[in-house]
Amino acid sequence: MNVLRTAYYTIIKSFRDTKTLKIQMLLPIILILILGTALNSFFTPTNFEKFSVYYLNEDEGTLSKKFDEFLNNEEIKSLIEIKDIKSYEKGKKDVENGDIAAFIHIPEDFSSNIQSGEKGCIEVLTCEYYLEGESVVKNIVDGFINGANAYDAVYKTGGKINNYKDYENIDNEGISYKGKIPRAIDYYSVTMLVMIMMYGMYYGMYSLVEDKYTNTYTRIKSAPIHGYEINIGKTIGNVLTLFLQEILLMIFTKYVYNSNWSGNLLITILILFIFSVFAISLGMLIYEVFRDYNKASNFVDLIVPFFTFISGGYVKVDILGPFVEKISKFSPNYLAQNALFTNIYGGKASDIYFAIAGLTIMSIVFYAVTSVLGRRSYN
Amino acid sequence: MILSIENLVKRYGDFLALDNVNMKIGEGEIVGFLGPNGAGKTTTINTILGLSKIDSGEIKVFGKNLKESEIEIKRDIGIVPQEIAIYDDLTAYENVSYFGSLYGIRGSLLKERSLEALKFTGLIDKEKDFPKKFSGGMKRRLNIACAIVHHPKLIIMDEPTVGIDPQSRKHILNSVKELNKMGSTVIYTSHYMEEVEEICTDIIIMDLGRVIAKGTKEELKDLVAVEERVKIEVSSLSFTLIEKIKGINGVKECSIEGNELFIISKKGSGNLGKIIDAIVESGSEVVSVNMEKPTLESVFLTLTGKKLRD
Ligand SMILES: Nc1ncnc2c1ncn2[C@@H]1O[C@H](COP(=O)(O)OP(=O)(O)O)[C@@H](O)[C@H]1O
Ligand SMILES: [Mg+2]
Repeated sequence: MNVLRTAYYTIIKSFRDTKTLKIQMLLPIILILILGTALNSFFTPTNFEKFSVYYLNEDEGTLSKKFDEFLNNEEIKSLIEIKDIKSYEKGKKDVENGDIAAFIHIPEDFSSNIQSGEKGCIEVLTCEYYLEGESVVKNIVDGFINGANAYDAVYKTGGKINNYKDYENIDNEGISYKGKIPRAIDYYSVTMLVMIMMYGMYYGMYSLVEDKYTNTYTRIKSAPIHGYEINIGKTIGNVLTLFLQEILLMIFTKYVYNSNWSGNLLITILILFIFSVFAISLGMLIYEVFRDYNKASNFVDLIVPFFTFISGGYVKVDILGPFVEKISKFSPNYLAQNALFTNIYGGKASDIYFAIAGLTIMSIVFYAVTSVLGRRSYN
Repeated sequence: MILSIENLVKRYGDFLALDNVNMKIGEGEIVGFLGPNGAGKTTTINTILGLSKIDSGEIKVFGKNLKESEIEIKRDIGIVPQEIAIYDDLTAYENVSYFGSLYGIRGSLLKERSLEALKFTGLIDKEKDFPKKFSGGMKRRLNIACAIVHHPKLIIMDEPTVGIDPQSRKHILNSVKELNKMGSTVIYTSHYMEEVEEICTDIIIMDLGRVIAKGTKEELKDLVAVEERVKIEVSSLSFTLIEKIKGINGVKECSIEGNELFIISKKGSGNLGKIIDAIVESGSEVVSVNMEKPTLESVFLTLTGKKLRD
């Protein structure tokens, strides 16, 4: 009962603390709008027109007809311009020369092979000069393979035309892209939300000093209760506060900014919840390490922008270069962002499980260390 | 015995904060706990509540050992901390209700008791307001309300009237008396002598971590009074009268100023009757008699060599 009541009043207090609430709710709403509109050009490149793809379908069967339809889809048309081509040799040569970003080729035995239980193959040749082209085309083909349930379809791709890889088996789990890329507003709705959840560490930190600041410490300590009941209550309250804020932000960006929050809603909610647990635990740990609210705040003010930056929260990681891309994997923001993006845009489901498991394990460790450090601090 | 402290020693590092403190407080008393800043009053209270570890000694509350029955003991204590201890983002009612709930009160009883506490402290029409907007006095009263929801047997108030308006002070002093009448024993910490003098039955004086005096008000005054001073205004004066008074048993000094006599006698000489007789016999009339009694302030000054407040 003491736990629940404490949790309840913790939430009430947080939502009445308008100063913090403005930072937690208003700031991301503004940032998402600014970044989402200002940086939109980075997400929908102006050289988009040039982004053409050759297409040669030599197959007479029904399966490849489906792929034709698929390419006629509006969404795909908005991404690439399909140019039909007659000669395989010319296509291959143009890709090699960098005249065209990619070449999708369906050989004549595609449908029959699949129908007779052998491996079908969609060949994708991409040019190394069109970095973005490669992933987009790959995603489109993957999307088709998934959507058409053509389990045995095999496609070839390669960074270099004369060195392309030949995927014998399709790892179904590995290919679930839906052929969509986020607009800037979609992107920042996720990364800014994750960033603001990291700032939620403040709630965790403050819960450990609140009663000293408001002098209620004496009252709490002289009540006939165990100190941990209050700590657990506050932690639950803070986690729920942060979680609620993120759900509200998600709803706001979804309906006001039309941000893309598709994908499995339960998984999105689960990721947001686990990350709330994580952020609160990290905040508490940081306080216990510094034992000084100001120092701990300074530290948080340093690491949140840092983690946000290296995980591509402000500018996409692929623009930042390979070094940042490597270290970004060590950022909690990256784990959460990646899991959310995967859920929304598709990708390896294992990324989601990995993020959830990783964040959960870290949270448990943080809480354990915090409570050990915290016990030492009394008296 | 509500509280008994024996040979209590508390150190902060090398600093001896409580130096062999002993005290006993009986049921139904209002005990004034006096001492200048830094005397160790709050430290003593903290040890009673088990908030700070003690180096040696024994504390028994309600006849039970503090270490063994901490939770049980705490259930019957109400604490009004020295610093105002409330949440600014909770309404007056929510504050009272939350802290009351920590004492195991639930449901409709909690609501009833919370409203009762607010009524008792004169804050009932502010129940939905936030303490942010409260005056110092109102905050102090809310600080008290939060401590009495659970009808504690022992109420400990640590300087509950610091920095407030006279009206709130009066309200608080009255409520202390009221709470006592309703059956609570009260430990009232203060460095306002008048307050303690007004409401307390017993007094404990602390200085530099030690209890330097304890007893009823009268006992303490007697302790420091070594002489009795009386000022008598008369209609007329004569030298023979002065000589006569000087001859009365116990009188140490007699001087005049205008129509007033200043007489200093040994403590407990009980000679006022004889003095007045002498005046009347001399044909003069007594206009007024003024006994100069020692105040707690002078008790304190005598015992510690310093004033209670600077
Ligand atoms: N946590 C602490 N650490 C060190 N010294 C302390 C601590 N708390 C109180 N003291 C010292 O103990 C003495 C008694 O303080 P306190 O009990 O607060 O006095 P009072 O309540 O009578 O004004 C003071 O000299 C104070 O500086
Ligand atoms: Mg004090």
